[in-house]
Amino acid sequence: MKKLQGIAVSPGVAVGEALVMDNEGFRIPRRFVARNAVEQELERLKKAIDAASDEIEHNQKAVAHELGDQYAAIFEAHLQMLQGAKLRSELEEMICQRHYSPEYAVSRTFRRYAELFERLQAESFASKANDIRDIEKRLLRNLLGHRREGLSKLTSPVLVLAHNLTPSETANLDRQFVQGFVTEVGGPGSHTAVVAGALEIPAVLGTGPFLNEVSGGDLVIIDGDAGLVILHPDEETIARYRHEAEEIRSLALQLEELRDLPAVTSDGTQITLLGNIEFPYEVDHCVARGADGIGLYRTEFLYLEAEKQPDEEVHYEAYSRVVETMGQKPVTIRTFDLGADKVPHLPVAEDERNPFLGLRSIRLALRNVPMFRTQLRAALRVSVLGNVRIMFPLVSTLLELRQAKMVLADVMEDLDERKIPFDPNLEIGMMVEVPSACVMIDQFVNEVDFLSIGTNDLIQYTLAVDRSNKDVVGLYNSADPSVLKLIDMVVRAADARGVPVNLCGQMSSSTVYTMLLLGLGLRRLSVTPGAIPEVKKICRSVTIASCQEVAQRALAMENARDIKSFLKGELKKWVPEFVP
Amino acid sequence: MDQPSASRILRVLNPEGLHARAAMEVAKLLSGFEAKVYLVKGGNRVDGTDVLEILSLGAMQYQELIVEACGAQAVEAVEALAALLESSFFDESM
Repeated sequence: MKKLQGIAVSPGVAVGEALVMDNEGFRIPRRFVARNAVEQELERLKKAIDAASDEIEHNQKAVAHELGDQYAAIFEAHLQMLQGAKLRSELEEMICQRHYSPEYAVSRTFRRYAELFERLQAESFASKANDIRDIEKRLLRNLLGHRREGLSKLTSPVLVLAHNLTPSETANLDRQFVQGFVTEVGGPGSHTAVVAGALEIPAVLGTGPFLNEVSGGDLVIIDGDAGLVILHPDEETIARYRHEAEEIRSLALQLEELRDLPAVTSDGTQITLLGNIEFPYEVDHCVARGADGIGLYRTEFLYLEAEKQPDEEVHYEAYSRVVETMGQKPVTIRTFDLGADKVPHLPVAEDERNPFLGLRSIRLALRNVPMFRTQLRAALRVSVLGNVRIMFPLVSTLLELRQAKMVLADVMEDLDERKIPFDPNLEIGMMVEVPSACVMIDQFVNEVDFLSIGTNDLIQYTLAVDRSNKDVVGLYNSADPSVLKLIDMVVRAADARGVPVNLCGQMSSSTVYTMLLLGLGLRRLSVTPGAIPEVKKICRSVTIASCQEVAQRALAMENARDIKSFLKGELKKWVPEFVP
Repeated sequence: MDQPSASRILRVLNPEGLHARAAMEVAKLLSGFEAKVYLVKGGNRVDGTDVLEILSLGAMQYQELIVEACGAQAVEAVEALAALLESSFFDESM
């Protein structure tokens, strides 16, 4: 049994078979073969070894011809390793005796050799592990042939283990069977984290290297609450986690009963609970949980998953699915919020040493007005299908907000001229996620219809912490008093002007903060769809008066740790069943 | 079994040890004899004609190996291997 600590990015527990993707996206389709298929599988192994040998010989000849025999010698070594009698008998034994699939047998056997070489002290031998992996890949490529389909078309439930997953790999993944993610790199805010959250499956990222220690088909546990990954778990651990997964399911069933009840505090204040979504299919998760609308519709996936820049119809199709599903409930479309590095069809920014402080989001949109207009046109066009609102991200100065509104007004004028219908009174708002916007909030409130506090970025910029950097992630803390003071400032300014203010960072989905946020005066919370029932349960269990008292006491504290433990204590007092 | 057999302790002189190309030469040499040849080091006993297995011994320069052979050409095989290993047969450059 081996435990790996990573960063927990999506909660829940999963126990299941590993699907290991390396950089080439290999996966082992299944671990066992039927008893009567053994002969056939042996034949498949033999063919794959022969084909791999032919390839190596071909390479050897080509390299010898171009560069000389000396450089081709490595291929001869590969060939001989591949054709070794011991290797062959080991593979055949696994298939015949243990009924392993050839893919699984290859993965297991080569991993053993790779580990053995890595343990050898001399550097020159340890580096041979790479040769082993090279041969393994060649063999797997031949075994899997056309069945290399990445994460689509799976046939049984799997936990995906990978070095990193690209948006294109996650774009078409099989939503029925993928039940968890672990990646060696990455962290909160990465695309994989977003996808895992959207699918509502546990995910642990940034574990550091471990793929050499696991084979496709091995039993693995992902603990998305603690950020743990357990390889080769013992029976007791498996039983414990299966039990935990069962309890999570039964709690979810209990919460389902809250679906059609309003989020009203016990002293009668109505709270609006909205959903945060990225992918159109998530709108169904929101409806299933009785969300009052979509508080944050991120549109980045449209740019990440496409080979070319999405055209107006691509935007329109995605938005209309969401807007039509929500009917008259509000849908807040957030415009483009990416860095130039994430959008392959934009020129690379040259001086991007600090991408979070660089050319991204609204700044990038204002530099690429035609791209921005395409998105705005589609958003305006869907406004006649329901209740659409448009929100600009990462606004840091008034001038920026005015520029964005000007582009929008220009697009409206254009649609008007072409007699394309849209809602001319649709609400326009901005994200409050840069400290400068909080400081100047008195002026911003005069120029928007609504505000939405994005705590993820606000915390990152206020505390100057990159939360995808594991060396400093410990300094990233939602409960930091500086963050609470900024939220307090924004809510007061918005209330004074009668501008509705929403909070849509991860902080709003965490039940620990619900009382605090209500006490600070927030009446709209936008949360990941999965968190709606829990947050609603808390709203219905508390009084505004008690929340205000909690907020006042928290604001008087001097550090995040004290605040967080105080909040946990209060939650336990009011909603005891929610604290583990 | 009254097959001839032979064994000997040999020292690896090759600067890079019994590493890819050297292991390959050893395997190639030994498969040319009518004999079953095993290399033994640190409790591991491997087929002397199997490159992957030879590599897995991790035999470095100046370390000792036991070679054990049986079969019609056992003696010749051991002699030939001794000659090869002690010749520091080439610089590893792969």
